[in-house]
Amino acid sequence: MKKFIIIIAPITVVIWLGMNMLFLNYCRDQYNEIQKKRLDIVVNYASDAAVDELVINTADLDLDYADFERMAVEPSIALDMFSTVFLKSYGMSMSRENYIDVKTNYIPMFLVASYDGYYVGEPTKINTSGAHDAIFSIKQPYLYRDGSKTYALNLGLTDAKLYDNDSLQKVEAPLSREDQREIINSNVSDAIMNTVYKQTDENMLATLYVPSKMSTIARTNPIDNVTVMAYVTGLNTGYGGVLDSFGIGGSRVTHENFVGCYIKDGVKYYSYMSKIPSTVDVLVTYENPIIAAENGYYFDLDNL
Amino acid sequence: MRNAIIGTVICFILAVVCLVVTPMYYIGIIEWARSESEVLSDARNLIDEVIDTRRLTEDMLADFDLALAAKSSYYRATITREVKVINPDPANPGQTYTNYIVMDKMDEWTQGDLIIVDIENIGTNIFRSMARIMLGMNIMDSDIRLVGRVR
Repeated sequence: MKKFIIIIAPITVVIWLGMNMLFLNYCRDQYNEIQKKRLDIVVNYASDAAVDELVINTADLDLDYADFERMAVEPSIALDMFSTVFLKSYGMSMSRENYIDVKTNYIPMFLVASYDGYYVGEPTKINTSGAHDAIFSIKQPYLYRDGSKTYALNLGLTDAKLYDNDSLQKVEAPLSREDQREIINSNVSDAIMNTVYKQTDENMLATLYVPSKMSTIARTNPIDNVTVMAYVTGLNTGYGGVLDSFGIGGSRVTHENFVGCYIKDGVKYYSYMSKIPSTVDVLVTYENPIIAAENGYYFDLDNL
Repeated sequence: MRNAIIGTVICFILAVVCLVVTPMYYIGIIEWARSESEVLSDARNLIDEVIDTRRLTEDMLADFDLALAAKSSYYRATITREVKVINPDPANPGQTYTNYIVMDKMDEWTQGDLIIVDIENIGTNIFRSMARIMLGMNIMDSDIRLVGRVR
């Protein structure tokens, strides 16, 4: 009997310890999974915020559908807004150092797809003493080569720019809409993968691919409007895991929220037009708050 | 005889730890993980409603509080509205600076505002509490904070 206990007791303890070890593993996985879910939500909201801010702050107001081609986007506005939401979600202050930290350490790839090209932002060394900042590339066209002809496609999918070694001209789109979508998406996918591969020193945690057709499985849309895509990586959880996440933000048609300017008690104020009471004499209206502030008007906190 | 008593006591303690405290801890962690991911979904629902409708009504708040109260852990949520304010920079005329100001008025939101939902874990579920009281077993906790921009 005694011999039996001497054999059995250590086995029991070992099994118990082993179970604890397994459970510790499970615990860590659970914790990482929750943090991953949270990061996904944060990145999703951040890219939505970025694309909205981008469309509102850089759209030309004289724009109608005939001028859609001239719509310019300023990608650094999107990256700033993305970083703001990201910083606030992780409880960090909005200081310049924190912005640089987020842009250079956690966002290896930030892509803004606009009407006729895309911008890729990546952390770049800006001097020899080790300073980095996120720098955007020049606008890259959606290229398509057919023999000696080079086409630049756009998101309108009806026409294209043709370059045949001596002239640049506007022609009808050379391909069907589906094929053009496929080429635009593969251009963007390649740019994403290239940048991530370069920035993460070939230690990628994931492979990113933007499908060209609407897929019901992954529930993603092809790029058919101004889009922001961001890849976030390098975020540590407490248990030694590294998280990464990928967010896509698509824009939609919005209307401008005009601001009206007036003088109250001798101070120049502006406020959103829908909030200004009818008794106030509006002197001038502007397209967005930035222009109003540039002209010396202060935000009126009483009208909200 | 004395040895037998000591052995019995040690065995009893071991049996309690193995058969009572550890399973409680395990169950506690599993429950905690589930409620944590449910809370994330609830916070996300609330933020989605606010950023799409641009208002925060009593009904939405009541729904959210009810959802938090139904979890096995105890949570306290704080909702903050931050208004984006762009003012002229007095030092450099013609330039602007941007900051976010916390607002008390919560019913009507404007485009560009930020909604910040802070969810604080103020109490654990009963299994984890018992495991902590009996053996001091605990795990790392972190508060949840989500931010959305009103569209």
